[in-house]
Amino acid sequence: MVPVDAAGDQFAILPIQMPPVPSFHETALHEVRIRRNAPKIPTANDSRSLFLKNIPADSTEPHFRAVFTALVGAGRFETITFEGEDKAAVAIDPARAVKAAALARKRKRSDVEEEEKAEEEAAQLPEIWTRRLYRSSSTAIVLLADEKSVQLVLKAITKLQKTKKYPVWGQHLSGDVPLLGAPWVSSHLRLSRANKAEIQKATHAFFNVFNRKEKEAAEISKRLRNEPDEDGFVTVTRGGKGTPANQFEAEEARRKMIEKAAKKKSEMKDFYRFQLRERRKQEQAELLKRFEEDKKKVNAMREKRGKFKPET
Amino acid sequence: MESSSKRRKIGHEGGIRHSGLIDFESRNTARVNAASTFVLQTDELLKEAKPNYEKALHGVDGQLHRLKSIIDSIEPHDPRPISEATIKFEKEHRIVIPFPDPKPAKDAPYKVSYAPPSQCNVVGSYVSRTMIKTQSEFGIDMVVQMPASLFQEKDYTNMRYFYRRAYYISYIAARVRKEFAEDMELSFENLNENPLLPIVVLRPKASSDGSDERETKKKAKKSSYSIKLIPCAPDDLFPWSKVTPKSNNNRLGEVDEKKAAQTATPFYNSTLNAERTFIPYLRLLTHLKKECPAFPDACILGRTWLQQRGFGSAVSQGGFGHFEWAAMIALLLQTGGRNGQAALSTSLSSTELFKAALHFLSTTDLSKKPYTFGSSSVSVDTVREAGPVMFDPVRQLNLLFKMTPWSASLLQTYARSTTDLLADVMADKFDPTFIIKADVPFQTFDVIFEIQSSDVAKFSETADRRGAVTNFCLEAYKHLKRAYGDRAQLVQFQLPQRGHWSLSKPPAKEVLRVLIGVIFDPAHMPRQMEFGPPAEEQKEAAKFRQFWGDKAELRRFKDGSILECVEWSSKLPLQICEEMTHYTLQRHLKISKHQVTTIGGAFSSIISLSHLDKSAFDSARQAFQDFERDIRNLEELPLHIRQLSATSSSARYASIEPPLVGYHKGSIELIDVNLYFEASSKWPENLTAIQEAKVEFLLDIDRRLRKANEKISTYLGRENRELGIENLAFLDIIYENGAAYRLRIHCDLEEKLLERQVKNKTLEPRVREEAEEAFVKLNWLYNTLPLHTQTIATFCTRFPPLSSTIRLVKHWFNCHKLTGHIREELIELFVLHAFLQPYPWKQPSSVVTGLLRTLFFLSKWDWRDEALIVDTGEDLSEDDRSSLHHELQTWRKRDPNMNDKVMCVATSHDQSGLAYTRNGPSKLVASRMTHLAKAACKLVREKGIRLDPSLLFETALQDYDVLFHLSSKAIKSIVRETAVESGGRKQSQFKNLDVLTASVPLPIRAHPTDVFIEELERVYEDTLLFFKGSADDGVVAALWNPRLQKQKFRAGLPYNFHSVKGDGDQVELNRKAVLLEIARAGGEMIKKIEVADEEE
Repeated sequence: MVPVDAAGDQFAILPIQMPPVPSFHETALHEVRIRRNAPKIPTANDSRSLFLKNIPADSTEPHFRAVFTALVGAGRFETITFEGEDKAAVAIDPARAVKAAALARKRKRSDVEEEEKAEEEAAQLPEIWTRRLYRSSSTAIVLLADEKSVQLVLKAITKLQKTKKYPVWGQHLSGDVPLLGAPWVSSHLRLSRANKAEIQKATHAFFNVFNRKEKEAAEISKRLRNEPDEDGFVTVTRGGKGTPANQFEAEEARRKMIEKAAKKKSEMKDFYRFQLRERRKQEQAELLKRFEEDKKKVNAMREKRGKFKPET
Repeated sequence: MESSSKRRKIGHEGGIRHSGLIDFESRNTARVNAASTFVLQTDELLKEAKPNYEKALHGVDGQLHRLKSIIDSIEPHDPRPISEATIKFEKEHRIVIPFPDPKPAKDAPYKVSYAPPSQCNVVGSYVSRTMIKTQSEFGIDMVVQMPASLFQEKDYTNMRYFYRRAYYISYIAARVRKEFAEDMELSFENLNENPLLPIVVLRPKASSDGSDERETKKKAKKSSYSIKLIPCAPDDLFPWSKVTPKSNNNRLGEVDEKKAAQTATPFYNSTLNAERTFIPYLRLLTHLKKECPAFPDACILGRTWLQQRGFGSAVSQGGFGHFEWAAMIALLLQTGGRNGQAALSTSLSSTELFKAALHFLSTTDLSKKPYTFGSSSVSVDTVREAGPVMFDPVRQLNLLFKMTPWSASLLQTYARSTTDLLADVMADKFDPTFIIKADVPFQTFDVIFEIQSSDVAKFSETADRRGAVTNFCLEAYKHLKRAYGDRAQLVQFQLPQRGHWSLSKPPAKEVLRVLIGVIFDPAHMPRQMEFGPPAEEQKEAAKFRQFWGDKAELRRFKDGSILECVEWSSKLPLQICEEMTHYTLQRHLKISKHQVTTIGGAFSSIISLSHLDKSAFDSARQAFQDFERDIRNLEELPLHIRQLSATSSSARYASIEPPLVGYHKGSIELIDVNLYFEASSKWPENLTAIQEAKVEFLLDIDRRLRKANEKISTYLGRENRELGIENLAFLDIIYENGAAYRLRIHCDLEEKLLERQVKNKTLEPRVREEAEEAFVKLNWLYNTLPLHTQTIATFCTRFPPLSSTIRLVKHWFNCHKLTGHIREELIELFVLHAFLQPYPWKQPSSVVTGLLRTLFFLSKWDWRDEALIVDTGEDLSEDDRSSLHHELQTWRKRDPNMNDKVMCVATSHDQSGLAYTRNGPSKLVASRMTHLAKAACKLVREKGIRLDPSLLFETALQDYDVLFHLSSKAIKSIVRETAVESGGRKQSQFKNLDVLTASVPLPIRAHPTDVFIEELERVYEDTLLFFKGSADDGVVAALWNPRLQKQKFRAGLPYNFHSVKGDGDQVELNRKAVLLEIARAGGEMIKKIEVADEEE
């Protein structure tokens, strides 16, 4: 194996021993690739975190806590964030709010922001899986206690190559890990049958947030309508002085217009003699074209052998 | 002024002429108009089909000349009494003279002699050059005309002519054998399997140099021709008045003397008649070849068409072959029209002649009314006989005398189906007409009975000399036809073939081994009651009683009528047919049950089809209407309901298991329902908000429903996804009687918003992709599926066998584990296509033919080049089709490896060609489907009637890399656990007092196996390809993604990898680790993981 260069972009290999399972009596070495975390947009914790690639699909925090404990002892592992978990909550902004907000940035007071965040959280629906399976070969970021721990971990991994005492997956788990297998599926199916009251609450919370944002957006756009920017221009926003035009009605009007145009066009067909002549000419040309196409098709068939041979 | 200038313009001659312009006067243009792909294809076929006479039949001319000179040089001998001559001849030459049965009496008073033939002539397709390559054997007919001096005036009676003929041919055979001993094999054969007409056949011996075996084999295969020596009668040997179909000329063989004197002997007479027509027909055909240049080609086309349908001149092949076809066209070119004019013009092209001939065959009912060419003086009554008649008044012969009533109706059926096809603008015409071999019994007939009996003696005693088996069949046909009545479209008898026999032996005895094929009329066959005439009509009633015997009974019906009737105890069409056949054969022909074997019955037992299924589906649909009324009656909903439509396969007669109302299993089968509201502007203009609003709506409906009807239980279910732009939830509604529905709401604004997002180029590509995916799903669920459900349900009521066929075909896909990749709706379209375009057959009339023809279609369909267009509404124009075709071509050009778009399947309501196939099958799965269908069709063709249907449904597990054996126990316990409220009552300590038995099971989102596989598919999207059958199937198979090869490590690899030992940076798939992951995730649900041995 290649000597592991802990520094830089080079990945180190962290082998994990996978124990046999009753349905599959073999063992395997799972290779997790590991390196210092260096995201494109640096964050404060980069120096004490590690980037992991190719983690097992059934990874959980206790699993990795156990692995790191086996490597460098307890107390160094702080937390782990899996791929896709850090994704921001779905934007529940009304259509217009997005645009308007982009035009006018306004800082809010932090306590208001806090409150709103709590509200948004309430709008989230309850989880329906007790445990997630991650996509094969997915990534995670491990946050360790300090920079020194990072060094230690990388060193321990290098040492593993010699000692061959690989950490074993799923051993010495601290804390409860929800089971996979049958209980996992059945709990999912049960959770999918939602509690109506809970859902009701969540949707109410959602619409509270939604309506508030819509109102804010309306306010912003109203304000923008009256305020010239620093160059002295006034931003044109949708909705006149009266009620704002509805998207739905606009679409309806457009459809009607197109229909009208089509009708007008069809009435003028074959009106002049030259139109008739032209149409005939076109038809003839099409006929000729079709004939050529047929010929081409038959030629193609001839190329594929056996097409003209009756089956026996 | 103006008009004159215009005229001048038109009169401009010799001006500039554009090559692309069409000139209506020129011949070329006419061709453009008339030409179609079909004509071009037939031209190509004609080019290909003609054998190279120089090469294939090399040296035949020399042989024929030699043969003629030998025959001419045979010295005559004087008349001798027949018995004496026979004994002498047989002793001298060791040849058994093939006298037709019954053999001449020992004391027969007449004498036989030999004289050189008055003519020796080659006739038939060798002379007219109308042979085709695919013939089983090139046959060259040489007729030897016996001189008139050999015969006496009364020779037409009592088979005397045939005895003389047999003696004559044996005499020639003796001499020819001597001369050709070196290089030809001689044997006897019956001409066209007519037992009266033995002939001598010469086949070249395989050159026995022993040099190279393969070479000899090749040679033998190449030069497989035979020369047939056919003795024939001189012109006008017997006056026609003596041998009309009405006259009785043979009394030999009939036991009852009195009866023998009365019954007419049409077959005997026609055979006698045909003996003198060889030369006249040769003259006619040669004459026409000169008159009509397209005539030989039309004959070749006809020959191909007949051969693909198993027709030939021989009696067992229906008695309508190349000669009959050629003679028919020839006569139509001369006579047959109005006022003695020709029916067809000699300037027609070969395709037109072919089409015209088919049209003639399809419209003329030959069995019912004798057809006579030309308005001749011959009255219909003089030529009438029991079988089909096509009478040539000039040569005074019934061309169809070898045909039987059933072969005539089969021929007409095929002709009709082909004329339908040629009239169908949309279908591909060429392949079904000429290429596809259409005579596979199971693809043609709904049920096949095999009768095996050695006792046919009682049928051989008629004077008409058709042969015992044919006589038996004629008798059986009469009775079965009467018994089936309108239940069967066609009853067909397949006679055993009779081969050749060696000169020194008597011909083998006939064995009675007959196949009876029946094509059902699906509308009538399932009827359990056979209604007869009312009791007042005594004569009719007596007839009915006479036919049905003890089974007939008199019953009074609800409407007050008193009818004779027969009731059958079976329920399914096939079994009713079987019961009727057994009964009829037993009653009228004394053929006992165990002599009749039913073939093809095993198909319906593969999945338990029952006659109650239809009513189960019907009641499910009925229950849905009740549900719809309940929803529509809800008061004060904020929006008006536009439509409610069911989308599950059980709502369109297409689910494998019929819907059972009530609680029969541990789980509940729900019917998916879409709820459409009237368009409204009240929806929020945000996709996520719309989803939340839909949830609110569901809860609102739920509250109102429960208020209106207290006995309904409802559950709000979540889709397996997070809050986002796609649907979040559904409402499960369960009635007291067990009818259950899963309600989803459609919002029209959602569609528009998504469409706008897809088109909005300013958005991020990821967002647009997501929106596109959601849009496609939405379109499928709310637009395509309801229409599809409606279409299939309509067709299922229109074609009774469609429903069960769909179910059986789905089972086939399940057995081969393709269900996960091929949508069930797509399977339904495949089956529907086999029903809508059944060519070269007629529409399938039972499950068996439906299944096999669907498989046949799948094996033929080249999805690489052809789009499948199921024109359900019959409203797709030619342009729509060609544009689809072009679309497919552009797909292929853009993506020749077919990574993205594989199958193009369009219907009237989806013309994109993608709706059904967007999520699969992939190229790999599609080719696997084609391979499996091809293998199945090959099996059907090879095994013929000995086919074991369960073989078609056998799963081939050896082709997969990994097999996951699921534990049915664990899965069942999940189903049981999730069917009760969580944390609810504990399991009772008595097993039979389970919680389940006391309460109603709760609905679950999906079957546990499906949930699990869905997760695995998400996780291992790029690693493994899963193959699963039905949810109860215990084995899930998988293939490793073949594209995952060894490669250099990079951070974005989408699969679980490990480094290759001793090879630097290279990594490869870590298969064991992946399987261990799956094993851990599956836990007790997986019993065993089996890995196929790798060859390397």
